Amino acid sequence: MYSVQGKLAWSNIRKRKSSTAALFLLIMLAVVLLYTGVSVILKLGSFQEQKMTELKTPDVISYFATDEHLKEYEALLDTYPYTAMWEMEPALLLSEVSMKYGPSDITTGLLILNADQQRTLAPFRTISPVHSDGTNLIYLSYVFHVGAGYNTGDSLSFTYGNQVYTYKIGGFIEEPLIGTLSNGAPKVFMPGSTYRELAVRTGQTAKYSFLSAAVTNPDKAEKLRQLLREQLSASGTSATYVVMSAQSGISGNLVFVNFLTAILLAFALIMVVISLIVIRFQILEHIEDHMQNIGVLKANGYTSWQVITALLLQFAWISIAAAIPGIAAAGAVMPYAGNLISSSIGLIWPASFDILAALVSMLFIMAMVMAVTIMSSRRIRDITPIAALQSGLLTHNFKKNRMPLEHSPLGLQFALGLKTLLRQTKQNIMILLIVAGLTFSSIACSILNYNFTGDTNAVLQLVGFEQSTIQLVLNSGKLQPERIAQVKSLEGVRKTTLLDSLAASVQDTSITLKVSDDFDTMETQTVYKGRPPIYDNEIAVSGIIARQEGKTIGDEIEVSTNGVSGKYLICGFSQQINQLGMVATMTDKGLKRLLPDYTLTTLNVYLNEGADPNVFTQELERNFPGQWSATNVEEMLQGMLGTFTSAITSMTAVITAVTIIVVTLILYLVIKTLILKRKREFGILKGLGYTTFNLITQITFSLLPVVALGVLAGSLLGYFYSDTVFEMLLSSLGIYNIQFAANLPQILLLSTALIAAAFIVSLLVSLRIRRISVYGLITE
Amino acid sequence: MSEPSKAVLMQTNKLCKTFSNGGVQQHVLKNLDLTLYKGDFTVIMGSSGSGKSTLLYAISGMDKPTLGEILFEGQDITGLSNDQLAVFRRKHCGFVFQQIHLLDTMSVLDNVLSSAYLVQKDRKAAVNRAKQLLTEVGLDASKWMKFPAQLSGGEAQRAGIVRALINTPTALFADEPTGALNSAAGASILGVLTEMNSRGQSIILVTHDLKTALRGNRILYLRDGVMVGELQLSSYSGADGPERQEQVRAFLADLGW
Repeated sequence: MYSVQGKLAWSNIRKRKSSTAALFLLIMLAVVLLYTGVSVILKLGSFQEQKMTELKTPDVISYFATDEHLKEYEALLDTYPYTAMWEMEPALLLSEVSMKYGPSDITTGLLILNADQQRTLAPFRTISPVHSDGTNLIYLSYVFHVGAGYNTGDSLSFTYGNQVYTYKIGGFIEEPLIGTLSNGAPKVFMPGSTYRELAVRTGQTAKYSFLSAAVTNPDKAEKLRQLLREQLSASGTSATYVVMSAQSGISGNLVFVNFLTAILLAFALIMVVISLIVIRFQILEHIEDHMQNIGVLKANGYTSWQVITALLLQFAWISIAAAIPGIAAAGAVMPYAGNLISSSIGLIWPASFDILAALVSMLFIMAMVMAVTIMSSRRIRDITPIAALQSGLLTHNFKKNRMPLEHSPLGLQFALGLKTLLRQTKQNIMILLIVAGLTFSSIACSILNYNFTGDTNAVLQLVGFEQSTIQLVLNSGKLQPERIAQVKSLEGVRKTTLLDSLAASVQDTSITLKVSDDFDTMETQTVYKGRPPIYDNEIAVSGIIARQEGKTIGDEIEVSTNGVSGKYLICGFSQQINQLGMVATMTDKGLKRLLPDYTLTTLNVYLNEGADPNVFTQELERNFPGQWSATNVEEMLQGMLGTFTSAITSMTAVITAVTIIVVTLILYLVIKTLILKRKREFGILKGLGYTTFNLITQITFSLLPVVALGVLAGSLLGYFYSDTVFEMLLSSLGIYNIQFAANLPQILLLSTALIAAAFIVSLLVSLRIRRISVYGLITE
Repeated sequence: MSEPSKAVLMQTNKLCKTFSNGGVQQHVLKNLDLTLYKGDFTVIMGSSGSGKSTLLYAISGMDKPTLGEILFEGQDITGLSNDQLAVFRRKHCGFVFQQIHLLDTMSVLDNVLSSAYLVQKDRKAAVNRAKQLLTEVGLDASKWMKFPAQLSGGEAQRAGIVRALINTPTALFADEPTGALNSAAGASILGVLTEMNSRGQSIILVTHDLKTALRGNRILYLRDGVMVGELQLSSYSGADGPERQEQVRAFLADLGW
C-alpha cells in the first residue's frame, strides 16, 4: 500500500518539478537560518564557560589607578571569605587612543599588560601564528583581527596624548571579559621591554593596577565585585576604574550577539512560516487539480488517510532533501557567522558541526511540515468519490462576476488582470502574508542598520551613555562652580552637565548609581516611565531592577553605597543596555543623604555643532594646563558602535537578499502555477487576438497590486512596529521603550525596490507564455 | 474550380505543415494550393487526421505553416510574428471552437466584451452590439451575466458565435462547431451560422458531419493533407434539402468517405 503512495508522492514531485524546486530552496534557506541561530544559542553559553576554564579567566577583574588605597583593596581580597586566589600586577591604561579599526577611525581605551609578567590567572597565551621578530611588539585581542582586519606582522599605530605610537602586531589573544571594545578598554599585551618603554613615555596618569581574583564559589564573585566597587568608589578617586565579574563581563559581551541571534531566529521563523504557507498553497492547488484522481483512488477503496499519506510522503521527502543540504550550507555559512560572533565576544567561534542544532532544526521543520500537510489536506476527508469525480462542476464558484467589463472604466488588460486578481483569494492571501512578512523584516533591519550607521542617537540613548562631546574630570581638587564656569566660558561650549557614576547596591545586587544635579538637562533621557528624580528622596530605577525587586513607581527601595543605606521613593523607570540595565539615578542632594560630603566630579561638555573637540581640548590644556583629564565621548561612542556596524550591515544585507530571493521564488511559483492552470484560457485569449505582451501585462496586473499591498503593509508595519519587535527582543535587558529613527526615504526606496523587483520578476517569469503556441494551448 | 466573379478572401500557395513527433516527421499538409472567396460558406471535410483542422488553424493565423504562403486579402501572413498574427486575428478573424472555449471565469457578456474591447474603442457601442448580437442568437438578458458552466451547450456555443462575430471579422472560422452538441442544439447553431452567412459573413467551417456540410455553398475535401475534391453548391435555403443532401452524399461517396 505504501509503495503505491510512495509512487504517487514521487509522481507529484516529478510533475511539479519547478514548484518542488522552489519549495526545496525555501526550506533550505529556512534550515540555514534556523540551524545557524539554534547552534549559536545552544553553544554560546557553554562555549564561553569552556573558554574561561581553558584560559583560566578570573572570576573578578578590576583595574584602577595605582594610589595609596592599594593596600586596602588587597586587604579586602584577603579577608573576603570566598577568595581562592588573587593576583595584582602593574598595568597601563591608555584611556583614550585613536586608531584605525577596519574602515573607521575609532577612539577607545587600551589596557596594557606586560606579557613577561608571571601570572596564574589568565596567563599570556597567543593564538598562533606568532610574530616574534623584533621587540616593538603588541599582542591584541582577537577582535582586532576578526573585526578590524589586522593580521600578525601588521603595523598598528595609535595616537595617545598627541603622540603617535607604532607597534608590530606579534599575535592575537583570546579574552572572554575585556577583549572587546564594548566592555571597557580591551586588554593587550606587550613584551617586557616594550611595556616598560611605553610606561616611561605615557607617564604617571597611565599607571594602573590590574587585579585578577578567583573565588571558591562562582556565585560569590558578584558580591566581591560589589564590595570592590564600593571601596573604589569610596576612595574618592577621580580616575577611571573598572570592576567586572566574569558573569557581568560575559553578559555584556553577549548582549549584541543575543540580539543578532534573536533577529536571525525571528527571520528564520518567518522563513519557516513562508515555507508552510507555500506547502498549504500547493496542497490546496493539488486537491483542486487532482480532484478526479482522488475520486478514482477513493472509488478503488483508498481511505482518505492513505491519500493524505501520499502528500505527507511528498512533503516529507522534499523537507528532508532540503534540510540536509541546508545544514551543509549552514556549515559553509558558519565561519562567516562565527566571525560576526567573534567580533562581538573576542573569542574564536568554533565552526564545528553541531549535531544537536541540526537535529532540532530538522525535527522542527519536519514537525511543522507534517502538521501543516495534515491540516491542509483535511479537505480530502470530506470529499466523496462521486463528488471528486465530478470535480469540474463542484469545484467552481459562480457566485460573483467581479468587475464586469461592461461597467469598467479601466484599460482592458488592467481590468482583466484585476478580474483575475479578485478570483485568487487564497493565492492573494498567501502572497500578501509572505510579502508583508518579508518586507517587515527588511524594513526592520534597514531601520536597525540606519540607527547604527546613520542617526545613532536612539541607539546611544538605549546604550545609556550621556551624549556629551567631551567628558572632563579634574585631576585634583573638588569641582567647584568657578571651575565649571571657566570651562563654560571657553569657545564653542554650548552647555555643561554634571553626571557621576558610583557603585551601589540594591539588596545584594550590584548596580551603577548615576548622580547629577539636574537630569532634565541631559541629552540622553533613559527614564521611559514616570520622571527623573528631582527631590532628594527620589530615585529612578531601571525596569529590570524594579522587576527583580518587585517594585513599582511610588514604592520605596533601599539603596546602599559605601556601607551606608537609605530608602528612596521610586519616581520613574529607566532603561539602558549598558551595565546590563542595572542602573539607578538620583540627584546629588539625594546622594548626600548617604554620603554628606559628596560632590560631583565629572563634567560633561557639549560643544556647538561643528566645533572641533580636539581644538577644545587643546584650548582647555592651554588655559588650564594639567588640570583636567578629557575623554572624547563622541568618538568613543561612535567607535564602540562601529564595532557592531559590520555585523548589522551584514545581517541587513542577508535579510534583504533573502527577501528578494524569496519574493522572486514565490512569484515564480505563483506565475508558473497560474500559467499551467490557465494555459487553456491563455490559448483562447491568444486565439482571440491577445498578444503575448497583453497576457504578460494581465499576469503582472493580477499579481502586482497584491505584492504592492504586501509591501505597503510590511512597510507600514515595519515603520510603526519595528520598535515593538525590538522591544520584545531586548525586553530581557529591561528595554521596554525603543524609539529608533526611521529614515523615510530609505524605507520608500526599499519598498519601491521590492515592488520594482517583483514587477521585473513577474515580467520575466511571464515571458514563458511566449513559448507556448496558441494552437498548442487550444488543442492540448 | 474557382469563381472569378467573387472577390478572393485568401489564397494558399504550396502550403505545408509538418509536425515532429518523437523525431518522426509527420507531413500533415502537403503543398496545398487553395483559394477561398468572400461571402462563401466554405466547408472543409475529410476523415480524422486528414489535416482539416490544421489547415483551418494555419489559414486563420492561429498556427504557422512550415512552408508555403498564405495571402489573406492579398497580405502574406506567413511572415508575421506571433504578436502581429495576434493583431491580425483580432481584426480579421472570428473563431468558433468545437469545445466552445468560453472563459469559464467570466460571464457571457464579459466573454464577448473581452474580444470587443480589444478592437473597438467605443465601449458603449461595443456593449450595445454585444447585447444586440446575443439577443439575435437567442440569448436574452437573463443569460448575459451567467457563467459558461451555467449554460447549456447550445447556449454556450451561441455565446461563442457572438464572441467570434463581435468585431465584424473578415472571416469566421469554425472548427466542428456542433461536434460537442446534441442534434437540436447543433441544428440551432447551424441556423445561426447560415443566417450570418446570408448577411454576407464569410465562413470557413471544418466538419466531418454531413448535416453540417450541407450548410456550405462550397465543400472542399481533404485527404492526407492534399485537397482531393471540391463541390460547389447553391446557398443553403432549406428548401432543397433532400436533393442537396444526395448531391453532397454522392460527392463524398466518390471520394470514398
